[in-house]
Amino acid sequence: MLENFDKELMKTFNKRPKVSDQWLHYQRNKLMGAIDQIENRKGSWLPIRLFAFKPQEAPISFAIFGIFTLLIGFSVGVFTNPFRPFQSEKSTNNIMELLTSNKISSVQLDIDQNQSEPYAFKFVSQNDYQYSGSENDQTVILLLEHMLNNTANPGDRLKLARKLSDTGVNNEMAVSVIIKAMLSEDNSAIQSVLIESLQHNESLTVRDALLQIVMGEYDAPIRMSALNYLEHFSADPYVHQILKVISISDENPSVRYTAGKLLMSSTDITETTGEIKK
Amino acid sequence: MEAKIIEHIRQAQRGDQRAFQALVALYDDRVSNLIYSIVLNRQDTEDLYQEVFLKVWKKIKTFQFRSDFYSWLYRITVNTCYNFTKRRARNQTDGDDEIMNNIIYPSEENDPNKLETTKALYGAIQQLSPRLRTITVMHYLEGNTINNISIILRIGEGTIKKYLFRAREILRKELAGYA
Repeated sequence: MLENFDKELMKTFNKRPKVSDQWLHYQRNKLMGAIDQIENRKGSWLPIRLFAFKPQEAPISFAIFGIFTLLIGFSVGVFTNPFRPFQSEKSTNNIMELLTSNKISSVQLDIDQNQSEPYAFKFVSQNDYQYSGSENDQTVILLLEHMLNNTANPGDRLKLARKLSDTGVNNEMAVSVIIKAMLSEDNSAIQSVLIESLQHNESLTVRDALLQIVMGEYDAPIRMSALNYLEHFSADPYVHQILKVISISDENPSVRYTAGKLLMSSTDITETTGEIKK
Repeated sequence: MEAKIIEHIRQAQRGDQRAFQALVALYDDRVSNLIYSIVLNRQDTEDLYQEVFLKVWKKIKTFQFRSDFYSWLYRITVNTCYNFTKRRARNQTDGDDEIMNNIIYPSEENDPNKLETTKALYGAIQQLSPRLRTITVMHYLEGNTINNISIILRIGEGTIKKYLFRAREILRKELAGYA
């Protein structure tokens, strides 16, 4: 029966949709435009190269290079000026507006400052901004969500994950933001730290997220990590049922072993409890 | 590998954009279909087309002719799509009615019943997790062997078999009405 289904699947798949020639043509042009831009950007250092490799054109190149250096010097001076006014503590409403309209280009943790609040951010829109607050502050939650989901640099995401893990999160909204990021994070190091950040939270939402990882995550170390934090819930009959399945069916022997160990430590409690929380 | 393709690759490695464009034109039909099959979304297919071929342009100097060029390109495409689908799961938006726009079907799909079945299949595939979907497309659509998928995605063969089994079960349930 399964074999027939496979054949049917292959047959239907062979009727896959095709992209049009017009579409391909448009994409090729767009691609070559992008490549052109990349290559031109490389060429923007031409004055310096001229100065370095063609001594006969040195006077012109030197003038261009001089102006260029002055501009860089000016910019560095402006950006490193300690008295430069930061538009700090921008109002919550404005930040929300900037976030929802995608006008914020990057959000980073402000780890250099000694803040009284646990979370301090700096971000760029039309100006530079700073904002700090606790996990109970809705703007902080929005900034956390933005940073976890839209920061391309894994190093920055990891920094935030560590901060969350060190601080510990209990606010329900913040927890759901972390869970969403944890389930979709493609970097296993970050995913692991995000799991760790929920280790002290014993809510059902966290339980279900950990179970989802244990049952569906590809990386065995991540499954192990989630399994370890399931220890808090091992007395829960629902978790108990799933641990039974994992201890038999997981492809990784260490995961099977750990699930079995948790199971044994909780057997006495669950055997006497009939109700399964769902 | 054909001499013409080898020549295009060598020229592209020396920075010849025209040779690269010719190379792209040889493969982008297959690559686009592969991307679309995995992401099932027109806009994402466009973005990933650009991302994949820009990666190829940047990395082409590292291609050492040890494997077939398409295998190399295929690996880049699948891994880019796979990472993308995982990331997209964060900002998933439902109700993409435009999915089929600009994508044309083979002539036999003018039959509304068959078209309906194909759409149902793609709808069902959308229900699969990124990992299951990628592996399903690689196996059933692209005709890769389990061993080949295992090499490309660096996942054990046993795991691939398990994922294919899970995917089949999900698809079977989703497509029960179309059998």
